[in-house]
Amino acid sequence: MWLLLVTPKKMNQELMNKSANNTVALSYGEPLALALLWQKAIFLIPLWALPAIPIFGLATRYMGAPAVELGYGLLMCLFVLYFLEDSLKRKIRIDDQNLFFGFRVVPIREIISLDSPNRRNKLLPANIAITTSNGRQLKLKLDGLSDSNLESLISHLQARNSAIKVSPVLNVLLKAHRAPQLPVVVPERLELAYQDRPVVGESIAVFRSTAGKWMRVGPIVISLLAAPIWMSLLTNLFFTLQPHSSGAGYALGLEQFFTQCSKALSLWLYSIGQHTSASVAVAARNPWATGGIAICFSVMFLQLLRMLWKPNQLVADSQGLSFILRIGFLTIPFRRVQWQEMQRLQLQEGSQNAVKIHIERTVGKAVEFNLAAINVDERALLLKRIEERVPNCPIEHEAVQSLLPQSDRSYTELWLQSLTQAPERSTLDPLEPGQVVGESRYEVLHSLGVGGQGTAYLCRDLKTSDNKLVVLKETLLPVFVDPIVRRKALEGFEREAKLLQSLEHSGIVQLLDFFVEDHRAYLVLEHLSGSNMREHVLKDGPVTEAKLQYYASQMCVILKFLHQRGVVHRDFSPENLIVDANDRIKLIDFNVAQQTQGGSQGAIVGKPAYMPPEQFRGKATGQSDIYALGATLFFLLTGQDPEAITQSSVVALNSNVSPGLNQIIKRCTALQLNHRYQSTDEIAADLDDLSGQLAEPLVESLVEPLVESNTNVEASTHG
Amino acid sequence: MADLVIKSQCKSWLRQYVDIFLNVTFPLWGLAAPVAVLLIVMNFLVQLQRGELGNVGAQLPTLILVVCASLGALLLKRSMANDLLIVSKQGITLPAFMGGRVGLKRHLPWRVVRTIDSAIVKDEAKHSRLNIFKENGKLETLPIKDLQPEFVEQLLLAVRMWAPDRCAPGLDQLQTILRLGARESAQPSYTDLWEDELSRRFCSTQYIPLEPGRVLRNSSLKIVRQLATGGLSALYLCQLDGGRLVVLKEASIPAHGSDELKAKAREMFDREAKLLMKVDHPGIVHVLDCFVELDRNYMILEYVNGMDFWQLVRQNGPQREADVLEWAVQIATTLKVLHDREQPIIHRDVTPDNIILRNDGKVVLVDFGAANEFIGTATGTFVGKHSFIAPEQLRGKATTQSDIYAFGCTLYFLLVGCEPEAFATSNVLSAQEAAQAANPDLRITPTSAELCQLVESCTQLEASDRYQNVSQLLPVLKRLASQLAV
Repeated sequence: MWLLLVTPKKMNQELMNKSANNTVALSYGEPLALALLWQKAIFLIPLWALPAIPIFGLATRYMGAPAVELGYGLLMCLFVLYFLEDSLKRKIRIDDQNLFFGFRVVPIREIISLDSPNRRNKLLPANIAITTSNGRQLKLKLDGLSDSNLESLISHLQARNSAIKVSPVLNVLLKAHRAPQLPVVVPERLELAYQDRPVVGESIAVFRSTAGKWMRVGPIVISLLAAPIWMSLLTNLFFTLQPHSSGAGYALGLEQFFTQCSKALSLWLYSIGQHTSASVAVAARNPWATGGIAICFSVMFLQLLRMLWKPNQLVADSQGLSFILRIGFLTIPFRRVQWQEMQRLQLQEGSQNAVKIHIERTVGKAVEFNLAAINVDERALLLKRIEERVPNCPIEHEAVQSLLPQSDRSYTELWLQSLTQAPERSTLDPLEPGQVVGESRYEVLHSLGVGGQGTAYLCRDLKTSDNKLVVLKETLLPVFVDPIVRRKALEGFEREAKLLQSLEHSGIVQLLDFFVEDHRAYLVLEHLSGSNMREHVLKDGPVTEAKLQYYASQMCVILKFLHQRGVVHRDFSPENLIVDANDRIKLIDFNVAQQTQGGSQGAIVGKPAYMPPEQFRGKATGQSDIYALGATLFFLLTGQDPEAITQSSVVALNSNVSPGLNQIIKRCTALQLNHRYQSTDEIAADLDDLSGQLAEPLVESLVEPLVESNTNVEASTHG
Repeated sequence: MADLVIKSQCKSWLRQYVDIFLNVTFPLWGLAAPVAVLLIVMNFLVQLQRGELGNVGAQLPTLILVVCASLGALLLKRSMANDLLIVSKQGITLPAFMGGRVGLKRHLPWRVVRTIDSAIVKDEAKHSRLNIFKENGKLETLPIKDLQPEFVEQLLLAVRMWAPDRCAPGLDQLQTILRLGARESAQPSYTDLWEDELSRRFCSTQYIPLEPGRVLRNSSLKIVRQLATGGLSALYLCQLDGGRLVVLKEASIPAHGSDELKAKAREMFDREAKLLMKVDHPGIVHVLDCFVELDRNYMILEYVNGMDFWQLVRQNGPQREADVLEWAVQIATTLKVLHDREQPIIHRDVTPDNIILRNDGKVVLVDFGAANEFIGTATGTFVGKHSFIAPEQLRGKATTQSDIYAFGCTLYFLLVGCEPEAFATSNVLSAQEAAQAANPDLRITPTSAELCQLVESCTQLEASDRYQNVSQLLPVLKRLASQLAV
């Protein structure tokens, strides 16, 4: 058949287990037992009745008719019960609480183990023993369960009671069933079944399945038919055997009822037979009807022949591929392609969902065959053979994919395929200088490089009077075919952009605008002059302690501003801090910043040396930025990245650092949250204390204008 | 896959009744009719012997009638067994019986379909219908309750993919309803699963990934489709030399930045790739080649078809201990091959995403951390799954024990069903208890104490406290596996 997108079998099972109020029925019983049931249905009554007759004879002699009536009733009940149990044993039913087998009900939560005891002098076990906590056992014959049923029996039981111990022997048995049996050595002459027209096979399958149903229902119907016949026979026998039968003594109601039933039934069947044969005969004499039927019949016959007159085997031998029809020993050749003739192999769409493999030949007409006609498991063999024999023959990738063995576990094929069908980007190159984007607003001057937020470009804003310089940051959004997923990707971008736009602070880069064009998201940021802290340190060496304090207090102000608004930056590092000529700091790159209220676990991107452990665990808080602040201070003092996931101490590298500052850095980078500073205010206070101790006082005038915007900080710096 | 098709059984009350009728009358057309044919043919022979050809002529129609009835019933039964609604690239094939209606010629190519819309009743999926308006003005109506529920979402996706211009806005609404419905009943919605899978594989990138159809390496490699993109790397399915399919791993490092670091990164990548190319083991994806083109680094890997552990657990929840142990033995054997070489190869990225379970039950390690490491070295940023990384690896000193840590974390993931906490020693049992308490429907089987202990000692934070090498680990795993398996 065509490669179907597999509805995940396992997932269905999972769903079923979860909803769990489904009752599962597994068929049980080997063919022999089924056949025996038929035999039982027919002969059960005589087998039971023969010994019973003398007893009834005796009973009537002493007790009279009522006892016989009772006896018949009992006999019937026993018969029906026995037969019912036997029929019920053809199915194992499992619902939420219980397992039903015949008349037995086994509560699933009482089951302790599933075992398959070994037999003496035999290699393979014959039974599965289901043991319950009260010591009782239910034995099922392994022959009676098909492989898949055994597997689902175990999985259903385990799903309902996880404490059930499954014997390893059963696991091994299951595994043996599950392993595919592929030929290890591929023979030189590869013969693959080719089923172009599955009608015949399917019809046979349908016939068999219907007949199978009747095999199961049959015994009951047969017993209903057989019972009255036997009963009337027995009645007669009974009367002949009865010692004091005076003939017209009394009548047994039950027996008479059965006798009448059987008579009525046989009459009915007979009349039906008569009636049908008569009407068929009438129809047959009508020439029109006969003609019509004859035409129908011949058409059907021809159709059948056409269906059968098709190759049923695909043979790949040393010469080439050939299609043959094999009936018994008779082999009729059909088309044939030599290996050297093969020029190209591709997939073609036929009518009615049919997909064909189209083989172009160097000479003559191309050969086509139905992909669906080859068994899914055998396609890979064919592909391998073609690749071996004609390595130069190009095969279209779609054809390769169709011929490869498919994963029956993956249902994501469709989704992945949808990506190849997704709308394409209109341009596939980075923006060129001179290109204009954002509804002809921003003209690209040149690329600034790739950063945390994607490629950055220096642009001119054409809408402003003085063509202000701006920075454009470009991120490529994935292209999805599904509008819901697409919308979600856009929403994520918009949320981040809006958040950044709401942050107006002199220490934070200003987001001027944002837009999406051609599946690319753009942030328009103010253009900053200056270099980032890393470049700064690499150029001028580690900063002095006094300068560091000035930077640190600015950082505290920036982080305080962010944390008050519930924003965690998550990527606070020397690269993301820009210093201008006046030593003012600006924080950039808010790509990974997320509002803490959302509580979502961010994906991990960043510089490990600047990330605290809890951020790796996806639980970044404001304190995580404090860790990054400490690590950044370490870098500024030493010019080296701190060790990741370690409390940093500057003294080892730079002994000139004052112990107070070292203490601050240590407390910032404490791994435990409760050992770390709780807020930036605390750091600012400690920095202030430190500056009091320093011989060289901080230049107040430089701090002043910065903190004006934030009264809290002002208070703390003065305090 | 051109022949990718999605199918669903489609219930129909009419079909159900006809089916019952045929089932009940089976003894007539399936048993009595063939017997009758046999009798008639025998009768023929008898009469032919007697030379009464006239009678034969009179009985021939009866014979034909009986054969027709029998075969007809069989064919009808067969056509009814085919109750599939098929959506493919070519069009929709409707089943012969749909609702209370019967039809022949049920294949509708997309060009025959004008629009597909949904008629939503009472904001519930089960009352709603799908309307297929044909170009000739006719309407086919499909009650949603007749379809398998998990199929409907796939159907909507397939229609959107193969016939985007024939979707009416009503389909979006239906999709939302279905998704909300699935959430309410605490079952995974296909749309949700899909979204998860896509967002896992496809993140926004900082460079332009290659589009399908592009050719590389002197036109010997053709991109078939993107498999994953993110940040500075991407994964593609490619066709090599017009034949076999391979996977191409791309790492793009920014053009600016320190040249020295880039050169170092490139050299490391090259060395690692060359080492990997020499390894030939069924448990490791085979590295075929590596090359640099247009300032991007590429590695060609063998194409492994299967399902990765992440998907497996996402769809099926925690796995059985016996299975996990069997896989663990396979993975450990593979790691042993890598670690026991003269120059040990550290995989560096043993995560559920990078372990693929093939259909035959074999486990293959794919995607070495080399490419991530390469980007990391060149840009100074960290790329990877934090939960699976040993602390010393993060500090830039990966050892073979780092792989053992990641291996322990992967076992934890398989047994518990969620990622372990980063930089923490994993305790499987308590995590399972917590998961069980959080979701009583989940039915997790507690893992044996021995395996829990093994995971715990693999995931010690100090490398020296862990199993020192796989050779120590493997016998223990084998013993545990054999206890469960035989």
